[in-house]
Amino acid sequence: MPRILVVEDNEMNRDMLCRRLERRAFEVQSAVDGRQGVDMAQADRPDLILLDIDLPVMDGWEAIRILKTSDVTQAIPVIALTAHAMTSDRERVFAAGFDEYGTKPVEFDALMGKIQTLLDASAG
Amino acid sequence: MQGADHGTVTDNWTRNWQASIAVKITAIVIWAIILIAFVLSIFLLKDLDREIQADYELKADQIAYQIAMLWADANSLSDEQLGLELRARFEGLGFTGLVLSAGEERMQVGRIQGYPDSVFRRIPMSREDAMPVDVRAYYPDPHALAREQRNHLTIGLFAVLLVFGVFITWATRIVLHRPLQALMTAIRAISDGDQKVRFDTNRQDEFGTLSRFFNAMLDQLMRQKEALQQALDEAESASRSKSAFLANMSHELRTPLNAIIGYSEMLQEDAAELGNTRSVQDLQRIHTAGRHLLTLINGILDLSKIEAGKMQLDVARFDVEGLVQDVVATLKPIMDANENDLVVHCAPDLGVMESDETKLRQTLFNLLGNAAKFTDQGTVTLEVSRHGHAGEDWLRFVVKDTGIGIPVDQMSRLFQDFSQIDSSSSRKYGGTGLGLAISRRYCQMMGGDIEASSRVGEGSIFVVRLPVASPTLRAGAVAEKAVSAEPITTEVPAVAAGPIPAGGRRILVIDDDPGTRELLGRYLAQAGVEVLQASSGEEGIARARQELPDLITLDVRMPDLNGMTVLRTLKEDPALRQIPVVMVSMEDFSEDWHEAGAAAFLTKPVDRNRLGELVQTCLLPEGDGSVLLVDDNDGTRALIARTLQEAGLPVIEAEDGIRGLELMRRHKPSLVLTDIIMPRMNGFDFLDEIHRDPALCDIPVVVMTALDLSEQDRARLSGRAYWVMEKNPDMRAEILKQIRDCRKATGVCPDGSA
Repeated sequence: MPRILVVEDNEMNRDMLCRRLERRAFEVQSAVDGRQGVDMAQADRPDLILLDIDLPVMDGWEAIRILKTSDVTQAIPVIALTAHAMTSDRERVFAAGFDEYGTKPVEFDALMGKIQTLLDASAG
Repeated sequence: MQGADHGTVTDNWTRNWQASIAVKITAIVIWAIILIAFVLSIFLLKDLDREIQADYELKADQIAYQIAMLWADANSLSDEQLGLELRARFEGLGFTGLVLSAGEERMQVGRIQGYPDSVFRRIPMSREDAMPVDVRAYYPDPHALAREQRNHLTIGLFAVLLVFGVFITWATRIVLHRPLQALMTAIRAISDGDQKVRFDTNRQDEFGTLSRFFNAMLDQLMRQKEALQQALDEAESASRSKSAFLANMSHELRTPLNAIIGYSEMLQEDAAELGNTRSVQDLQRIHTAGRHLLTLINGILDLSKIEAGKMQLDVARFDVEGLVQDVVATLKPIMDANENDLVVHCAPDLGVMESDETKLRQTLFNLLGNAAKFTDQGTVTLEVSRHGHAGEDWLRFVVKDTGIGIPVDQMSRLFQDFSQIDSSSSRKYGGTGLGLAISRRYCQMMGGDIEASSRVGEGSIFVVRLPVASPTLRAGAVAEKAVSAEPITTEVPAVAAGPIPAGGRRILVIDDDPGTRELLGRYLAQAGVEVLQASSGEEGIARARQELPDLITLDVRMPDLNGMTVLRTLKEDPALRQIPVVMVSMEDFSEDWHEAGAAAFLTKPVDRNRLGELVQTCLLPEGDGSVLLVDDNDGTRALIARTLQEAGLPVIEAEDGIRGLELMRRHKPSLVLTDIIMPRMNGFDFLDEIHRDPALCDIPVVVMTALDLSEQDRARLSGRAYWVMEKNPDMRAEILKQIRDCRKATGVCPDGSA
């Protein structure tokens, strides 16, 4: 069962995302800020990370930098969750090392597609 | 009421008298002198002859008395002595002759012939035996005397009055004309835009008062201007705050919406699993409403970002047909909802585009979505084609539908924020009314635009035109005022430059630095100019001989031959001498280059606009009967240029005297039309410069002005201007007439024939 780490500070969004992912038969862990997210990723090495950008303690940009420079977590695909289609952010998201991005509010089916593609790619 | 006209006191007498105040005052003084002299002479000279006669009556008493005195001693005097004594007395009193008679004795002294006027006195003798002596004294004609005196008096009077008149004129010039002149100079300076000018208020007279009034008015105006500027700044800042607030607010609104949309979706799944169809429907409604609210908020966010100048272009290369197919696939469900057919025609040569893909996608999605929404069981067509326009390649996206159409009176509001054709349509068709406004702003940011046409009941057509290569616009340039915007890409200097209009020509770029060659090459290539390159002076000269380009840009510093040597070589070659050479250098312009034959000078880093200007300037043919039009007002210039062009005259335009001179030196136009009040160099200085330059002074210059020119101004223009014309609504016809009139002299023919 693939394990997904959800890093999101907003309680409702986190709860919703986790529950919907669990329904799709994922094993879901969650973190409430960037620091905790990075720690959990390094400790548990999930199969995929959903990372919010606007986070307390450590924001998504810093978190992805650490994740992608650490040997332990480098290979884990990370999807950025950004606010409404910031077109100029798109480039920045990829440049920062994210593998994919999804806009908030989450289009769940679209997000599922992206998760599946990334998991398939890392499995293959 | 005569003379009162819109609160301005006027009187026709002075208004119709077209002369300067000095002339008017002089004329008034002369007439006053004539009148005063006339009246004075009538009063002074009226009874002059009678007065003379009365005067002689008095003198007669004197002469009689003196003769009486003399008579007493008469016995001691000889006749001769008596005669002399008498003569001395009557001549002293102005008589011409005397006749004395006593009884039979009669004696005559002096002349009496020809003098009909005389006075008579009888002198009684004191001795009783002595006979009384009768004296008759003759005097000259009083009329003649009066005439003579009258002449002297009149001449004297005129002389005095003339001196007085000259004094008055001189005094009025000092008292009236000079302060007026000073006022006029100050007013002109103010109308020319110098806001610091204030009138001299040292005078204690009415001019001082007037000056103080003017100063007070100017201060008031300045204060108002500052207040307006402040209000404007405040309004702009308020607008920015509003946009920032909206952007933040939209963000805040979206977070709870996330939850509403997400949980309603989850609950829908739960309800469906449990078979609770009623709840599924209700939850569906919550979900749909949430989605709609989200679209609205996103729209507001986009618009406020555009208005706050924070919307940026994300320029990248992408395949146009791929994008179209993508959009069409996404739209399938929306088309199916109203049972519409979607027909797509893509021209085979669409190729790639360098623009903001997301914004184009959003625009097409919006237009096609609208078309689908407002069409039932009809056809929505998307046609995409590529075509050239003004030296650039453009893409054209046409979205047609067979829907309800848009009423004529609603067309103008179509692209405004929050405007659906009416509120009922909003209820019926949904949507935010922001889509078109945002789409249009996006297209404008990408250097294009959207146009719409429609017929009620038959459908609508929306046409999007976009340049294939998006100009590097500042973010938010479409907003009324770009605020704190930053350029997006750094590839090309951030100037809002239009295309350099110089299609179909070949330009040789000689530069050892590949970076500069590349940059110049790209700028020029965008203008549709064929660019040839040479990396050294030797190669440059060789290529110039081989290709004969229309223009050469030449780097000043190069390792093999320096720019000056290359320039001299080019200018010594009869085949190449005519080709204009633009020098490109890091250093400042030096006069030597002009002497060596350089057409223009460009400093690095190269400003795209300046390059465009130079290329346009240098590529125009010389002395072709063109008309140079110099006016700082774009509207006026465009109007006159069109008139001239319609008459078949090639027109070169300049916005001030400096640019005008530059173009004149370049093209030797056959005629120059110039305004007077212009920034940088005004019309007077422009004419002086032309006059000073032997190469230009033969070109006739027509001065157009809205000013009422003073004598001084006219004097300054005379000998410089071929003709001075007042600006008025009918001037276009007049310009053509005047050009026709001087066609022989200039070779300029408004009808295009020789």
